[in-house]
Amino acid sequence: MVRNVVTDCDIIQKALARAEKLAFRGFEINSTSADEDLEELKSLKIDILSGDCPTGVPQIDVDESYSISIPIDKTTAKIEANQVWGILRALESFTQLIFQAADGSLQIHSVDIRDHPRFSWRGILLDSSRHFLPIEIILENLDIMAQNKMNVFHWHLVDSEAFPYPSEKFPNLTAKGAYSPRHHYTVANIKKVIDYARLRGIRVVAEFDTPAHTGSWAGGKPGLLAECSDRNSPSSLIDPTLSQNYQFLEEFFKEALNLFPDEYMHFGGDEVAQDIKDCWQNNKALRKRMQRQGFGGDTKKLLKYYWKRFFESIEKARPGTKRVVWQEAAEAEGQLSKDTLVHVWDGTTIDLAKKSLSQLTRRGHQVIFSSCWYLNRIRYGPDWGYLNGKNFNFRGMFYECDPQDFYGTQEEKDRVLGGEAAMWGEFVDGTNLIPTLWPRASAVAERLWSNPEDTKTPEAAWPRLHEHRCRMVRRGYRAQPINWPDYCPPTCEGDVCLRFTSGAQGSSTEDATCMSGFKYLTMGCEYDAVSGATPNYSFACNTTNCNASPPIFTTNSAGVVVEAELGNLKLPVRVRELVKCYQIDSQDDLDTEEMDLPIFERAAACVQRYIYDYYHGEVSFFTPLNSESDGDQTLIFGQNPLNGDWRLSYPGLVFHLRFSNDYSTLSLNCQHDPCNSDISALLPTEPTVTCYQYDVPAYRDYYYCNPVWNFYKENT
Amino acid sequence: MVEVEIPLGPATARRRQPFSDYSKKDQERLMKICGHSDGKPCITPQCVIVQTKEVQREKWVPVLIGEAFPKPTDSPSKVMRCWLSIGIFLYSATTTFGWFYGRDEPDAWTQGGVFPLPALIKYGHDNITLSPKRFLIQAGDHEECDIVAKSVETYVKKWMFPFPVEAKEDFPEFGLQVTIEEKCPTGVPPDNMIESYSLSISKEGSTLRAQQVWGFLRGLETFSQLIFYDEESNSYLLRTVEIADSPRYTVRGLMLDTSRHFLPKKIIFRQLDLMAQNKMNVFHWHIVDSEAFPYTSEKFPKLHVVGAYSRRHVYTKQDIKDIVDYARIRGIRVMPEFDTPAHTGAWRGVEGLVTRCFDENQVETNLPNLLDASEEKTFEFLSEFFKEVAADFPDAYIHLGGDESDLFIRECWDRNVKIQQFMERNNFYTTTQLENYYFGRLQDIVANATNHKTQVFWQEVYDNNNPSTSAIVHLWKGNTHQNIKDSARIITATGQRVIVSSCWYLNYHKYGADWKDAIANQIESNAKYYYCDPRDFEGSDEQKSLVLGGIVTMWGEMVDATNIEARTWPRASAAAERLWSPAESTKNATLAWPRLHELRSPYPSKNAYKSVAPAEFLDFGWPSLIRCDMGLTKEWNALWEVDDPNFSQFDYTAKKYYICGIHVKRAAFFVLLLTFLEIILYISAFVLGWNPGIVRPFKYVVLPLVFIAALLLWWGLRDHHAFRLLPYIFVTLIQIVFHPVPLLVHLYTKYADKDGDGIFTDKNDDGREDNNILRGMSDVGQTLACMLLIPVVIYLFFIYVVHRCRKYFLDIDAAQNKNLPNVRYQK
Repeated sequence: MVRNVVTDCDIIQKALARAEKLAFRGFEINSTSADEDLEELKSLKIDILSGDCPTGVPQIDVDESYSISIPIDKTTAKIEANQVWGILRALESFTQLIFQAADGSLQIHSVDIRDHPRFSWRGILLDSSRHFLPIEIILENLDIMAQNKMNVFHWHLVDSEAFPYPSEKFPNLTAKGAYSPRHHYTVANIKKVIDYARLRGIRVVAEFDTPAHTGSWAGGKPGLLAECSDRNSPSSLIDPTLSQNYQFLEEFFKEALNLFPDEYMHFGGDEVAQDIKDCWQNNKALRKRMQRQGFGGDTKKLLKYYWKRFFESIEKARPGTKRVVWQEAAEAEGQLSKDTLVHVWDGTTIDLAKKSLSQLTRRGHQVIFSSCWYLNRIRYGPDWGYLNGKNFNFRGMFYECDPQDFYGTQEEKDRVLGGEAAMWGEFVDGTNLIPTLWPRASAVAERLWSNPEDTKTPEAAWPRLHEHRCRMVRRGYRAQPINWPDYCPPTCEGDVCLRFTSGAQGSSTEDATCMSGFKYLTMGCEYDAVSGATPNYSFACNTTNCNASPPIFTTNSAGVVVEAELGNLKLPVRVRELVKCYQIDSQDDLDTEEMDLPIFERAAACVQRYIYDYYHGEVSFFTPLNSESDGDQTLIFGQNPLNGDWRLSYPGLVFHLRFSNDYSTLSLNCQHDPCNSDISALLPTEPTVTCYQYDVPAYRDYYYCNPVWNFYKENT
Repeated sequence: MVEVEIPLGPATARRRQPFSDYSKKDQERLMKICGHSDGKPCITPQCVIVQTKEVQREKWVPVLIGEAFPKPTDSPSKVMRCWLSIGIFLYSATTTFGWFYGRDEPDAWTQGGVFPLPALIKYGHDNITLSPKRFLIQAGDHEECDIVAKSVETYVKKWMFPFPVEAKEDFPEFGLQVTIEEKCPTGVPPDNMIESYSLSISKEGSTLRAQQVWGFLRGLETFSQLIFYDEESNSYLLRTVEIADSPRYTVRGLMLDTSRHFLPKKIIFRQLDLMAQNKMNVFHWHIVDSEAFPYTSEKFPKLHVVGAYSRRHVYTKQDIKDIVDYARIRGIRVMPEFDTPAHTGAWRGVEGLVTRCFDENQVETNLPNLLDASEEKTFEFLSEFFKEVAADFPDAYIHLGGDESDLFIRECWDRNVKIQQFMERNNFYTTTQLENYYFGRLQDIVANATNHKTQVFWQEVYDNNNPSTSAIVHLWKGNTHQNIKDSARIITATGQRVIVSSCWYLNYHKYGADWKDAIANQIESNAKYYYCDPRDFEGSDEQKSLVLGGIVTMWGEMVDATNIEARTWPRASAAAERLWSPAESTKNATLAWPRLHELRSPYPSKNAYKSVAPAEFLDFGWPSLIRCDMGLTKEWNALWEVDDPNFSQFDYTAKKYYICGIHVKRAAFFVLLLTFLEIILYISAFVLGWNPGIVRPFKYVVLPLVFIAALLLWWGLRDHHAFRLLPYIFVTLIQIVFHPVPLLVHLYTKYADKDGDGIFTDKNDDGREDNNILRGMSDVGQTLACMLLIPVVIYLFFIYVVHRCRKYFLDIDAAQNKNLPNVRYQK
């Protein structure tokens, strides 16, 4: 086997593994063979024309174009892209082409695709200040964004309400500004998000909103904010007359800009008017300083001065940083330089929003657009398609709204880089963010990716969006129904694909058929799909039909193309599912390794910790092993993605975790680990014993472990 | 009359009043309230009934428990009303202050608060440490009852202790003694199930008493809510408490629609769990509709084969059985709805059942949605069909729908020649007559087929077609709360029973806190869920009792398994409290929020409690003032007499609701001192005449002092975000603005010492200087009377409050040393 750019590229490796998982997750694969006339697709060729694997994060100028060719008469499909990022988009399209035919077989459309995005900035804004968003939800959202080919995660990290951003230089900001010590991120969290996003071709653009919306900075940095008079609520506006504040901002942003590698950072600047009145104009001490510094009583001048000094500090903190600001900051002519990217959000009607667009682009600013995509403004009914009147107080018209549809020259229109769907956090947290956002944001995703000529009406888009919604549900994401009564083609059960399907206690036929998927799986573990490295551990299969052969990956001599044969099932598309295994230090803190786990494994790791912490020292099967070699025991954890069975391995033992139908109980069965015969030999010979049964908490555990845990239960 | 033993704790026992001590009139009233006449015991907000010592388990006597149950004849005196109105005014003034944008603070939640609020609850001094492993529920014989056994298992294993805590050796054992009077019921919960219970938790012993197992279930839920996790000690704590509780409405339901979108069984299970946690007791299952027919009929299998979305989107007989049983264990009734004659598009599996329908050009439409009332076959089918339904759903009620038929009558009956011919034959001149004929037949058929289950119909059937008086009318129309209450009043006046859903169409979601706030561009009844009380109309108690309760509806157009739970809860909890708790004690959603917040997520960041301030100033009690609104003088007095820092059914333990000790204490005394000084100064000035020597210090000393006092208060309060005490500021401002300044201006402009000789004089006509003070006396007196009135009243109020709360001011150091549980002190 030849190592080459593609096979060594972590982005490709992981994308392939992901695509395998997502393409088939939730399908009830039964043994019905497909139409004899259909050719089996046996392999997929991946071609990266540039031939390199980017080491850093994606930036704004990446090339996401790709092509796919699936000829009807060949057994090999082909994906081509200029850059790795295009491959990511291509793999998403490729998996979307797979569907379940009426006879139960999985088929793929024969197709030729040439594709590229319309806009380079296709984003989602999440607000982690008004309600804290658990890191798992952010990661889950990144997964879904990738499935909608969106490429910018605009992270509105802090606001007046809370400061969950971890500053190492100014730890007090976090300590005093976060809702609680549990409601903030760690630097590792943020790095994880950035890396997770990178692997999905998504940029992370952080926002630190100043000078207003800064209420939560007050506790950690006394003196930063101006005192406000006549106010019922605390101050949330920076005092621009004190030069030590600029020093602070410079140091603060130096750290932040170091952490977030994207060229752009969002500096806010919205909704200053009322605060300026309350906190600058009506503040006597500040007014005196204004007089002394020569601004007279003109707060506009002072604001302009603030931005000048502020961006000087930013320039010092990280030279060349590209800036994004909300539209108010750029509205005063000449306040900001032309190279500032302006984020348009205001406007109660579409006409006003268009006016802003044309004004700003005429002045030479590049813009991104959010005015019609305030997805937090929910209302009853299918709000994703059409505008309800010209007034969008209730927003809406996600699909129809076109960010280039304003009066201006082509050159001005080209200054629109794209748009973002905003999900402000006043009414959403981990419990409802995902269903509120998806698939409504998919409408925005199509507007920003696709050719407007081909995507004119919501009616034409709906059948595709319907399939896409059900696809997301099948893959296990809580995308809500958005178009009146309907249903999804049956997968595991009803409208919801159960990730934690269990056949153990289930009496219904649904459960039984779902379980039948099990026999198609090879339970490989720690198996490096690309390098073919030997697994450290392998799980025993408990059905006779188990196919133990690993997938075959080959590369050509040029080292550019990889041909992957993904299993040999009797299915039109052949993929075998790998069980991902992760090593976790069972003794203490799981955080570092845990963060490398995808979201489900993370949830599972939590269960594992749960069981371990609680029964440590009380459950007999841990004891003898611990006493033998204290300290370096490892637990290996894996999930069968098709039927949701969890496995946990301990040297010499393999545990099978199984949840009861209502997730009230988790049962653990253990077997001897056939890979570790040394220890096996020392143990009794019964093939399976019930080790323990433990009740998993339901409903009321939102904040313990991690919230994700609950969310999946909610759906199942 | 034998002596009476009070089952509640010592604090209330002291104040008990044996039945015999009441006047004849009161005795009669009590008997009426307690439903004692039929010999059955009950527990209502007004009384608990306890056993006599001598005739255990047989005779029940109603007793008022102490001060918490004042005689209704006690109405507040006029003076007290004045106090109350001032208090409420000040209270409402404080609530306008808040966090960013005036919203509720993010960390307002309770520890061990109960939602929905019990009819009567009084917290004790202490908390009890619980160890999950040393915790026992002793139910005696009832432990064999499957409802008791399964619910205890669920609560103990899943809900009471959601995560493990480190086992400690010194955890004491704790047992909850359960007494249930009646035997374990064999069937599903009946429509007259008794859900009242009393719960007493103290260090000496804890008991949960209920007459029926259904009351036990509610009590167990309350018990589980009294447990909270304490991070500092890393243990579960249990509030000590005395509770006597019973629901206000008998029907407290949730409607789920499994036709528009299919809901997997597990999702329904979870909603039943959540209903139980909100003490809701009726699951109204809108199982079929025009869109899909997921109910599986054995007699007519084509109904679901043709009508369901897919073979997977159905409920098998086993599923239905499981759901009915799952609900039974949680004390929830399952009322199925089979909506006819409209909303029947999905019934097309049985041929000829649904009529053909035509558009205005007499072209047949492809979406017929109305039953054929002209065919005898239809009624034969219905008879058979409802027999099967009755076997599947054992509940005492059956919902027969009947809504929105007018939408289809034109298309399907008016334009249908066959129907028209039938009408002619039977001399029906209008389709309403045909509809009446249909409903008349349907009621008879269903009564026979279901062994006379109580029938429930949507509002239209009452409006147009007059169902039998034994049927229940289910209201769903009405744009305002007044509308809805009027409908309830009018319908109950005819003796018909009513269930209300109009206020709780939760499927209409919108941006904002619609559970309590009005929402722009929305009709009133589409928001403010917490405030809709369908019994709140003018009418006799008897008439009001015909309003059985309410059902929250979650129609299925836009919800399925992915989002139904997040959309339903906790918005439905607002209705749950309205339907369970006494109206008087749940008037304000802002006060309910901390409790609801805890219910939503009982284990928020625990570290947040690290810096909480003492609880006693909390009970300084602006929130409690609202209770005065109940018109209870004794209640009002009792409020100040407790020495319990945890006393208050509105138990705010959020840190920002606490008021830090030291600054407030000093500032409050300071204000008090100044208040006296000021009044004395005024009086002196008045008595001594307007001597500049008196006025000058007032002007130059007192006013700055008042300002300083205000600043001190402001400063002290700001540090601790204690917006609750802002009345101080408010009062000080009134004092500053309204009181001395205009008065001084008035005095100085009118009687200024113009010639600078130090005497307030004026030249008379004759040129002689005349001391003017007596002449101006009446003028000044009027001014003073006018201007002093408000501040004096407020000062008196101040004095009163500080007097009653002197303990908290004086004993704060002592209190700090006591180290009460639940109370942490800011040094």
